Amino acid sequence: MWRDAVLVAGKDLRVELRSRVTTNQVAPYALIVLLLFGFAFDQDPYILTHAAPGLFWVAVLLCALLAIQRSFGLEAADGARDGLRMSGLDAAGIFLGKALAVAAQLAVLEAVLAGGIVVLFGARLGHPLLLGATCVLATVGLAAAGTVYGVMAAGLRVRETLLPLLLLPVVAPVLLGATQAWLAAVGLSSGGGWRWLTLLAAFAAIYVALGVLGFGTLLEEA
Amino acid sequence: MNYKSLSARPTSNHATLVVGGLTLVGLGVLLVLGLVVSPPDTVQGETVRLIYVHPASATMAYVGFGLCALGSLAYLWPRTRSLRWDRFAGASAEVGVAFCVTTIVSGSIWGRYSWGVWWTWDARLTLTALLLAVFLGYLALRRTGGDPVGRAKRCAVAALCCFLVVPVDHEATNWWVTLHQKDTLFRIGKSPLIHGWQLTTMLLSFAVFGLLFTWMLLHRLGIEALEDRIEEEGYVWAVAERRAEGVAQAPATGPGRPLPGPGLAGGPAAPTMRSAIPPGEGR
Amino acid sequence: MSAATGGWDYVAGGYGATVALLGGYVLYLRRRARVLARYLPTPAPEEPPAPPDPPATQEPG
Repeated sequence: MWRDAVLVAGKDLRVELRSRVTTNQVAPYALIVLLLFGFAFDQDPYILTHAAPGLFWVAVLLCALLAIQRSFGLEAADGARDGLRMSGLDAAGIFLGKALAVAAQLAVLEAVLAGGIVVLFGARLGHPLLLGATCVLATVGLAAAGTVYGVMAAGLRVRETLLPLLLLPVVAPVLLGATQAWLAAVGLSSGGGWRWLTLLAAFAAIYVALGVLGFGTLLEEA
Repeated sequence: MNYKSLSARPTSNHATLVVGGLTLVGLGVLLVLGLVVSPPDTVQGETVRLIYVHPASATMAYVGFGLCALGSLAYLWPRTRSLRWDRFAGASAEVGVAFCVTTIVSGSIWGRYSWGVWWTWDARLTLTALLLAVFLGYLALRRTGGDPVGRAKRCAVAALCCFLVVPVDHEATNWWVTLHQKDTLFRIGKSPLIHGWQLTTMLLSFAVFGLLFTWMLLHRLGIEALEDRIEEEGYVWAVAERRAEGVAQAPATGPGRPLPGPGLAGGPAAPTMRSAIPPGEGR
Repeated sequence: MSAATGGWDYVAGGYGATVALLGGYVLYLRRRARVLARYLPTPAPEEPPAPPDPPATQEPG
């Protein structure tokens, strides 16, 4: 299973590396979203600093949508999904591989966005351990849930509009938990940061488990 | 065509008539009890009468979502796999969404009176809104069409995915509110100990809304059955009909041409076509 | 306003919204069922529309 996962993740990342869609399109998009937040909140430094963690995670969600659509868009052409289905690779391995590749791209995007909110919103970063753990758990949760819903919508004609509707309400707790943990980490809310991590971990665990168990069924029908 | 007899009440049967009649009677009694007989409350005044619609409606929304999850589970379980369960899951989710919207709107009106705002980020409100959004997504996924079996599998997994994060949502919204909303300005005050007519009416409201839910669910299931029939045999019928029309018109357009073979002419064509597909296939 | 009406306006709003939404959903279900039924013929149409008799063949010329 893990060998298959590494294989699939390697394939997706190699395609990304060569096409540079994440670096040339999604990352600039993320920065534009941050700029738009700046316009929307009228350069009020107080609001921007305090809202920065939430805006950061909203931007991550928007980018995650693009990354997931891209991840399954790769296989839409030339019957590549049929190829994947018939490759004999373990379905759970395919799921883990695709989720890993999405998570890796999200990690890069989060680094870009973190730099963005520090520079543009004057956000402070603190408590690196809590911040790092938040990012890791939230990214795993987002990538796992995104991969599950991505394959669910992959074979449908309305996938571009359906995926946000399916995914965003489901990952709302990730947005909530990650924002609260981040607020606690930079001292903008009183304590309780580690408590939110358990929530993020539970979400990630549920979706990784669901993906490992159900991805085969979904891929079959995609 | 002369299909009027069926189209008058296409999803009615004895069960829906009985349940529907009981529901109507119950609703009448509930209105009288709720609006006339039961006394106003000392704290909430007349608005306490909303307690006879709002909680029952919320309960039916949760029942609908729960039944959707159960139906999906039954579909995914290999020994009970049947499109019946898929239909059941879809129907109960949709009826649940209808009750969920009703809950949010009636609750919002009540909240405007007792809290002074239409909406507040109370844990239960937030959770209900999230559930509504999640199940709207589920219904959108159901409407994508395609192969019924594939759609059923996809939707069943989606429903379970939605349902398994409900505890996480619940915890998240609870912590969020308790962490941030230290002033419980918008909390519902301690609910007055209800008794007498108030208690009777409230219990009745749950029963009546339960009946209403059942009645809607039965009709919604009937619609699912109709949709599946169209999916399975509808086009065969359409072809037969077109052919019959063509045959009927053929003499007018081309008077001199002989009719094609006897099997294709008019009436007999349709039954022959229909018999190609056994009724009730895949059900 | 609610002071004057004792909250009856909110009661009317809540009950009205409930009836309107659930009633609207019922009407929607009914309409959907009728539209669907229009596409489905009865299981066994008693009298299939008889094709008009072919006009008597005329001898050409």
